[in-house]
Amino acid sequence: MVLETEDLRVDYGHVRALRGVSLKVRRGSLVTLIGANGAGKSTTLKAIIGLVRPSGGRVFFENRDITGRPTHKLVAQGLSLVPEGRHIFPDLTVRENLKLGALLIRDRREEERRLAEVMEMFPRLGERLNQKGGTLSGGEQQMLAIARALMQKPKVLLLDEPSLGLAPNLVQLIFEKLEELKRGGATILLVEQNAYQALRIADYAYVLETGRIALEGPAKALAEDRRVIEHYLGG
Amino acid sequence: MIEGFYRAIARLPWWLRWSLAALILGVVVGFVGSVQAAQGEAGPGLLPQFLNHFINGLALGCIYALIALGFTMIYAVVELLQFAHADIFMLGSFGAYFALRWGISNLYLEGAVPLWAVVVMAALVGMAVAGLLGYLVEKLAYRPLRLRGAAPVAGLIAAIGLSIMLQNLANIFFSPDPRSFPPQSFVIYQLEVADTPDFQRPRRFRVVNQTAWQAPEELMGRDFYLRIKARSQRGESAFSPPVKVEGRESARFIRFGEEAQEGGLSIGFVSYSRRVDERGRQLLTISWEKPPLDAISFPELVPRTPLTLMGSGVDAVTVTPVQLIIFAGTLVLFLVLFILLYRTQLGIALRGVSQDPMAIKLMGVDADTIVSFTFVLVSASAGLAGVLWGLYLVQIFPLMGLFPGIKSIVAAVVGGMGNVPGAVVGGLTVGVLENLVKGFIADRYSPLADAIVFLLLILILLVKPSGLLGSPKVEKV
Ligand SMILES: Nc1ncnc2c1ncn2[C@@H]1O[C@H](COP(=O)(O)OP(=O)(O)OP(=O)(O)O)[C@@H](O)[C@H]1O
Ligand SMILES: [Mg+2]
Repeated sequence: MVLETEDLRVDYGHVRALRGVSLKVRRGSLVTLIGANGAGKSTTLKAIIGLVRPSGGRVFFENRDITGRPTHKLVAQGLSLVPEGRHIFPDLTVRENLKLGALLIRDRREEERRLAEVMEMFPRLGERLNQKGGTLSGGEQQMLAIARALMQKPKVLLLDEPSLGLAPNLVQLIFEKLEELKRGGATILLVEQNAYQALRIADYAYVLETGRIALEGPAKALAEDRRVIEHYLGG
Repeated sequence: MIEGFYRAIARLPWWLRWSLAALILGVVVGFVGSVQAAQGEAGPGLLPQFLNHFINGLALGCIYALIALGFTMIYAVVELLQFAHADIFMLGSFGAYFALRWGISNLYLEGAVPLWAVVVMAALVGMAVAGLLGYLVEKLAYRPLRLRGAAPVAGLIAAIGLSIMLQNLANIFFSPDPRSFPPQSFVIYQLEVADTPDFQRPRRFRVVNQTAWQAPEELMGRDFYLRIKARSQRGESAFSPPVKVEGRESARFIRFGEEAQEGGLSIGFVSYSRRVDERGRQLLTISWEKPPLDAISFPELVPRTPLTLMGSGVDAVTVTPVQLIIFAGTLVLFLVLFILLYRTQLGIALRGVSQDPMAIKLMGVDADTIVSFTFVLVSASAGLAGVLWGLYLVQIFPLMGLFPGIKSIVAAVVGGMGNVPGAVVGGLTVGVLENLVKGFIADRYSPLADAIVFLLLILILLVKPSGLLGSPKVEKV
């Protein structure tokens, strides 16, 4: 297991957002975490990457306990998060946004190589390198957020609702890119509300309900589960 | 906080904004008219006057810009109005002052380095002192608040408290009296102390600029011999005749005869007195006469003779060497800053923090490190402003930060809070307006002058509510 949480709990004051979440991500697999609004999906990712402090439970990354370690250190160790709402830097150019993704790389040539790679993956960004991030369309901003995380060549990529608020053709495009990454051997933990697409490309899935894992299993199996179809696939 | 201010102005109905603006303009123009009419014909022409005030304004404006940079960048990064920034400016000035004093007496007067090198060194010390203070202030005062998620007003209160504290510490340690910057004159006194009147194996002590000295503990209750010579950049005197300090004598005054008065630097008398302090310790104070001052007044750090740009006589448009130094210093600092902000990864990260502090952590950088770096950077700039202020206005004192501080905050607001080029534009605008108003409209020392300056700045905000370079949408997205 490259990433694992054990009975993870998070409280926001009196709000108990996570009440013991245990999940595992195997190297080279795409694991998805689905659930309704407010189920605690974002909180799970934030607790993993140190943006919120868990009140209980543990997080293991490459078999080391990383619970409560500061975010920037985890990023340096190979965890990357594409946050919900993209959080690109609106007043920096696309190139500068990407450069920040490569902030920890000292080697300029390596930086250029990665830049070329992500631009090959997202040609639309390549055409807009000198444009301010804030002037991009929503879909382009999402691509930028993903590309920026990919500049870090993460060992595990955490994605929080990358398809949120995008037109159907763009949703399609984003999921194609995720499949492409998966084929390239990437390890991904994907949080989604678009359960249909997520289950289609994932290897394994967890269903989160009010801070607890309600169901888990291979994505194929869950996609056929009656409860999942009823609640998440609009069937 | 500041956003609220911009929003409040922007929310005024347009007709109210414009009529207020027109009213202010009318009042100021009317005032100018009446003052000009009363002035009559004599004196320099209008254009050279204007240009001179303009140049003076630019010089002052550069200093405001250097300070405003800090207000604006700190606000951009942590949304805090760092009131104590003005006091860091003051302490930078004091840092440079003490470095200057030390450097002149220990390096320049010893012939080790030329004067300009001492000035440069002092400027660097001033910047370093300010930068270090900025670091400490952030680390010890603001960071704990930030990490606990304190409300913005807590930061503001901390900032005001810090400002008052720094001012009062400076009052205590440096005394509230203004000092001239640079120190005007230097005399170094060399004291030799020995057991025998032939001064074999003497112990040497140095005293700078003071004409009194506390003898160390081991000289208490003993007889010893003492002689003193004075030295300045004009040369040095011979040793005074030896004085015997008697261990059992409580006080004595020794005047030397004519034979000791050769050259301009001789010491006419030496006296000593003993007393017991409140803790029961013996104190032996030795004092002596200060040689005639005219022999040792210190040369100007920077020549004061103005350079003429155009015209002559009363119509001459001039710029002083200090002003040129201010222009050059400010230009270099802002060039370096812009290269840093726009060409280096650290600079990009710094701009990133101000836009999205959470996302910057996801880039693998400790946001706190960048905040620290920002404080150091802008505080060092304020330190430079303090040095330039000292060179320009030749006086420093613990409360000196107050007015430049207020004007720099206003400059940052007028330029567009959070906007670095805005700090430059705002600073220059405030400086130039201030000098034009004080030159043409109101008396330099009348409180009316500043009121008119502020009125004009309000006018700018009425016309452009987000500040000169601020973006129209004020809310952060
Ligand atoms: N900063 C916060 N302070 C207080 N409560 C919070 C905070 N962040 C989240 N919560 C609460 O924690 C619970 C889980 O929130 P979380 O954002 O993890 O849900 P989510 O599954 O990501 O939802 P969505 O699909 O809407 O993004 C919610 O009830 C939310 O209201
Ligand atoms: Mg969420």
